[in-house]
This record gives sequence, C-alpha cells and structure tokens, in this order.
Amino acid sequence: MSRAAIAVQRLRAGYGKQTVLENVSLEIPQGQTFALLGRNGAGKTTLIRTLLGLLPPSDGSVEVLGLNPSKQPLEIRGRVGYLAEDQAMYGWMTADEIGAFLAPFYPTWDARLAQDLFRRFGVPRRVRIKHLSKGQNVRLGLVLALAHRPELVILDDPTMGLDPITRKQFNRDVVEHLQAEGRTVFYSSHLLYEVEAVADAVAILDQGRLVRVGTTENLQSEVKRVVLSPDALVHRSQPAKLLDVSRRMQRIAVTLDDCAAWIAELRSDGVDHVVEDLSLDDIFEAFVIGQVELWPGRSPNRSAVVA
Amino acid sequence: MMNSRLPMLLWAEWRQRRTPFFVCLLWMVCGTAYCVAYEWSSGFRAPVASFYSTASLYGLFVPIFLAMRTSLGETTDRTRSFSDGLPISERRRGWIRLAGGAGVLVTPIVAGALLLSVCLASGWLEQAPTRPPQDAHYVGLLNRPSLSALSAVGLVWQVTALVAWSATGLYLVLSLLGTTLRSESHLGYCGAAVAMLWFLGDSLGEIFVSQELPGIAAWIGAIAPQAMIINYGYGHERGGFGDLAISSAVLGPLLVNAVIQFGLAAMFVRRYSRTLSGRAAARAEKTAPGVWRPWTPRLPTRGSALAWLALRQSVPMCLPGLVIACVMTPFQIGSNPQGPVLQRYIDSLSSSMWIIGMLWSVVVGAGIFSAEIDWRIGEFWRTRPIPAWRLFGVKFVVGLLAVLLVLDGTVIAATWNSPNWGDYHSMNGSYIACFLPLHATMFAIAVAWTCVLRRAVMGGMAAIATFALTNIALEWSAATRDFDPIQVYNHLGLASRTPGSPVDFTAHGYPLVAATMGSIVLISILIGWLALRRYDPRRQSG
Repeated sequence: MSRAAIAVQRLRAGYGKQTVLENVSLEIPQGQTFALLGRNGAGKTTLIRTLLGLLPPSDGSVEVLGLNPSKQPLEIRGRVGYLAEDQAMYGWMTADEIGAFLAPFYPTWDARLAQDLFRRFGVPRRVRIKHLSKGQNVRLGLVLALAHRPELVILDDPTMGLDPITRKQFNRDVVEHLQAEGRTVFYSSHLLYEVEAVADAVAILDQGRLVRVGTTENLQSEVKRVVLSPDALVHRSQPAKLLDVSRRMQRIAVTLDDCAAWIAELRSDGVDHVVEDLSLDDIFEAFVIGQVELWPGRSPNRSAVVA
Repeated sequence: MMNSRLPMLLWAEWRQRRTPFFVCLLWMVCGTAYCVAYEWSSGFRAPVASFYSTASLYGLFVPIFLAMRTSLGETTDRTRSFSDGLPISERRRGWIRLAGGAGVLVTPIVAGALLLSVCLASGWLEQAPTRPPQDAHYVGLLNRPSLSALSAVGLVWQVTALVAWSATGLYLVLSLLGTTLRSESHLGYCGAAVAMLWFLGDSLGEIFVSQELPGIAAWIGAIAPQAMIINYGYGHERGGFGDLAISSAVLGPLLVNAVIQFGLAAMFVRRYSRTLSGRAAARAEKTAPGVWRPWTPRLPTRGSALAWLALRQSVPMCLPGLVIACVMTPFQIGSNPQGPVLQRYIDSLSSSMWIIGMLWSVVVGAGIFSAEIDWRIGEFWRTRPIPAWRLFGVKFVVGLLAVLLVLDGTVIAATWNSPNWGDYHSMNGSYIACFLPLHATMFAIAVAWTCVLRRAVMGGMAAIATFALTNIALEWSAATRDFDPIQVYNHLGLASRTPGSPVDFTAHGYPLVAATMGSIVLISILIGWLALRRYDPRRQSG
C-alpha cells in the first residue's frame, strides 16, 4: 500500500492569537486529485501554507510526502509544484529566464519538459513577464510548478480572475498533464463547477473546520434532496445529518447527508416523495449555508449536522 | 450638493495624509530644535544657515515620498476604481490630491520657520547678515555685526519661501512624472535620480555669480528657486561656516516660477484625471513586445542563479548613480589642481562620487530587496526551495560589490594613473580607506531598514535619517566630532598634503571609525537577514 501524499491530523493553525484552522484531519492518497472547497476566508490558503511549511501548526501533525513541513520545508518545496492565486513573478524576466533561474533549485528540473510545456500551453518565452496576459501568467506559473516533475501539485485558487474559457482550458491542461501521469493534485477553489469535472475527492472547509470529506462520487450519492409534502414530516424525527430545509411551492425540499436509510424509511412508510441528485455546487451550498429552521415543529439543531 | 462633497474630499485627504504629515512635522520641528540648540551652544550667529540646511535636506527627500502617494497611492491601495465610481470629477480629485501633498510638504517647513522666528524675535539667538554675492571686500561672518531681530526674522522667511518654493517645484515635477509610471517604487527610484539633479541646481547661482553673470544668476531662480541661495561652506574660497548669500531679486523669479509650477500642477491634474481603466485598456491593446536575448543564462548552481538575479537588479540601479556623479563633476572642477580640462574632470570625479556614493548606495541597498519584500513576489520566492539566508547573503554581497565596483571602482579605475593621484582634491588613499567603507555602511543600513520596514522607500529614508542622526550625535560633542568618517577623511587627506608624508591609517581615529563601520555592516546584515527570514508576505498583504 502506498504512503499518503498528505496526512493531516487534528491540525490547529492560525496567525498570532487568531486561530484559523481547528481540528482539521484529512488524508490524501498518492495519485488522487483532491479538491478543497471553501468560501473566501474559510482557511484554504492557511492550510496550504501549513503544508508548505510557511506556517507552523499550533497543534496536531502534518506530513507531506512523508516529510514534516515545520522541519523540512525546503525539501517539501523542492518536491511539490505550487501555483498560488494571483501569483507574481519578477516582471523583468522572460519565461526562459525565470525557468533558467529556478532550475538549479530543483534537482529534478527537466529543461526539455519546461520548453515543451511552454509550447503546449502557449506561453511566449521571450516576452517579459510583466507584459504577459493574466491567462499567460497563470499558465507560466503552471509550467514552473510542473517542470520539475513534482510528486504533488498544490494549486491554490489558480484560476481566480480568469475568464470562463481560460478557466476551462486551464482545467483541461491540469486533467491532461497531471491525472494522466498519476500525480497527486491538491486543488483549492471556491469555483465548484470547475472542480466537479476534475476532482476524485472533495473536502469542504467552513470557518476553519472540515465539515465533509469524501470522494466526489460518494458525496453525490450520499447527499440528496428529497421533495415531499410538509404533512409527511410532522410526526417524523429530524434526520441526524439534515443539511437544509426549504419551501418549494406547497412542498418542502429536504437536503441531507447519508440519505439512504431515511429515503428507505420514506419508501417503507409509503410517503410520496421525489429524490433529486445534486451538483457539487448544491452540496457545498447545503453544507455551508444550509438552514434547518423550517423543519416542522423542530428547533434549529445545526451542531449535530456539523459534528 | 457640490459644497457638501468638498469637505468630505478634504476630510478623506487629511485622513490619508495624517501620518506622513506628523512624521514630516516631527522632522522639521526636531531639525529646527537641533539648529537652535546647536546655535545656542556654539554662538556662530548662523541659525538661519543651519535651518536652511535642515529644510533643504527635507525639501530634497520628502517630495519623493509625497509625490509617490499623490500620483500612485490609489493604484497601490487599489482604491482607484472605487474613486472613479464616486460622483466627483476626476479633476477636482486631482487638485485636492495634489494640494494635500503640497500642504503636508510646506506646513512643516513653515512650522520650523515659526519656531526659529520666535527664538530670533525674542533675542535668544542672533543672526549675522548674509554675504552679498559680489563682495569685493569680503568680511568674515564672525566679524559682521548682528542683524536686528526684525531683519533676522525677515531673513528666516525669505529663506523659507525659497526652500518651500524649491520643494514644491520638485514635488510637482515628480508627481507629474508619476502619472507616466506604474508603481510607487518606480517613482521612488526615478525620484531619487531627479532629486540628485535638483540638488545640482543649488550650485547654479554660485556658478553664474563666479562667472560674473549676475543677471542670469538672479533669474535662474525662475527655473530653479534653490539657486537663489548660495550656502558657502568651508570648501569654498573665503567660505565660512553658515555663510549665506541670497540673490538680490527674489520676488520676480519666484512669481515666474509660480506660473511654471501652476502649469506643472495643471498638467498633473489633466494626466491624473484620465481614468485608470482607460490607460489599462490602452496598454492591453498593445501587443506584448518580445525582448532580444542572444542567449538564455546558464545557471548551474543555486549560488550562480541568485548572483545572476542580484546582478540583473543591482547593476542597472547603480548606473544612474554613476551618470549623476559624472554630470555633477563639472561643478567640482574649480577646486581641483592644475592640468588639462579632461584630466581635471577625471580627477574631480571623486569629489562628486563621495557624496553621490553615499546617497546612491542607499538607493541600491533599499532597491535591491524591494522585489523580495513585495508581498506578491515574496509569495513566489517563499514558496520555492530558496533558503532565505542564501537569498539574503548572495544578494547582499553582489549588491554591495555592484555599488563599490560600479560607483567607486569606476572612479578609482579612471583616476588610477592620474598625475594628481594622492592629492587631496583627487583620488587618494584616504578616499579609498574612508569612503568605500562608508558607502558599504550606508548600503548595509539601507538593506537592514528595508527588510525591517518592508517598504523600499521607507527603508531608504530611514537609512538617511539614521546617518543624519548619527552625524548630529557625533557633531554635538567636541570629543566625538573627530570620529565623523568625513572628518576622518578630511584629517587623513589634509595630513597627506605634506610632501613626502604617507597617509597614516593608524592616526586621526581611523582604526576606531573603520572598526565601527565594519561592526555596523555586520549588525545590519544580521538584522536584515532575521527580518527577511521572518518575512511572511501573506500577513503583509493583509
């Protein structure tokens, strides 16, 4: 069995007295494309900074490619390809020059691969970086993150600010060049529709806590929306993993995690209902801003859902 | 409606300028207080000349910082698009922004002048008369009778008007220049070069006076108001400490200059009011130009990669310093020994390089780490396997070598075979022994401050302030006065004037001064490295 590319146990981290991440645990096997979802300020970048050894954890343990980021940050950065949101590089350099500059820092740097990626991604090699378009800049960042054939690629909201076509093109490049080679990809984003197409597994981070981790397939099969009559809920107990309750005309839409048992119960009781499949966008919304106050005759009980 | 918007705009401008204003006020009030205290203890009867020196230095550096905020502050703070959406004309915003900076610039000078005026009016201090520009029967400052209190106060305000006029002129030129640039750091760098050229304007009046062209000497002030004051020092023939000469016609040139300044201000407002989005769109439409690179650098090791980075950053930064020194040199030829004009020019390079080297080593020291402390590029290098100590060490060493070789090295090489080698007014051993370490010290202090403050311009200003305060502290006491590196250079150089006597580097406090400068360099390295190691770009970005 191969070792996990990333293993995080009960991580707590933050800046000074401000705790940003609390009790975060996750394990990403090698070769997986893992999407970390969260709203702005949820703690995605803080988690990535901890993985790269830029921010020491206050508590818990972190292991990246079998290394401790607090003790071996440079070794990790040498084996990881990282592309940040809105990343800037030395504007006076050309793509060729920044490649030549970075090469000595990566023992596995493949200059031929870098040239090949420049060509395939359409990055002009002899134009100053400050004159590149936003899309070209992101693609240059991707080349620099891949040219040393990293075992793990960390992408922190890399497509933020790009137009939809360029975003799709970027994701296609990621899919083509990373998944095909069996690399581990840690992809942080809040643009869910772009993650849905590429992610093998997903974690939802909300206010510094992981509220759900699972494969994309499992998540979509376990989280469903059930539309039924309000009367059918009156004498029914609230499911343990209820995420959201909303009105839909004369009916009620109930979104819940781990839904199989509850749906089976409805069927056995002969309750008329419709089960709807959800997109990752809907699932994320239910976890992060879902409200259960509309459950008939029940008081709000969000803590049970998050736990 | 319009009337209600104006106070809000003024309030917003005040809130943005409040901190720089109090820093500037502190600078001028403390500077004037020092002048008063120094005059009170020494009794030279030249407080106005001391005040002029303080205000001139202020008027040379503060406009750079204020113009940066005026022209490009909204770009840096990313508030420009928000401001563009407000129901206020861009021109009105431009005028208020410009006036806000000018107010911050001038008010502290006026505050300093008020403080000095009170001291002179109360009779606590005395002031000797200024020296007429063409005085055939020169009487030393110490032998002239004191001015009446009213005349002394009048002199203070005459000097204040000229310094303030010059400072606002520089501020307007730099603000206008800022509308053509993209970032505050670019303007800070260009501003340092323009300020050095502005500094040369001080000598114009003296040159025309010495060439017996009093008409031009008087009216050159219409273009360069700073040229209307000549500050005679020890280096001048018959110069004395704090001996000032002021042009006979001040009002006319100042009025002409006011028209020029208004034109500059109007040009600034016109350029500033063009929306940023319009400019950005125009830029985006241009095809990205390719650059000619005959070869891509081969950088086999990490050290060579970092050295290449540092060379590419530091050498282009050093070259304008060399050019400015070369431009300044003709103003220094007068005091040099005999010989052909070209030889005298080459020999005079050291006379301009010692001072330009001091200022430019600060510019390079602050500039060489400006990219790495920018939070976006900081994020780039911090997330690569680049050790902070290696980055700092290589950039420091290469940057220092660039300063010493491009600035001092070029001058030393040019004068190496000069027949006047060793003369006090040419290149000599004392220069190499005193000014190379001093330039290295200034560079190191600027690096340390820049890494600590994480703002290149602030780092450069702090380095100059550190030097100025150290100098003041040394000058304060007779026991420490001789340990000023420039004094040590003077003593060593003057001692070497005696024929047949080699320079004695064990005398005149040189070992102590050299050891102190070495220690300051080492301490600066330590502080800079620690600051860069702890640097977290995300926290800086907010």
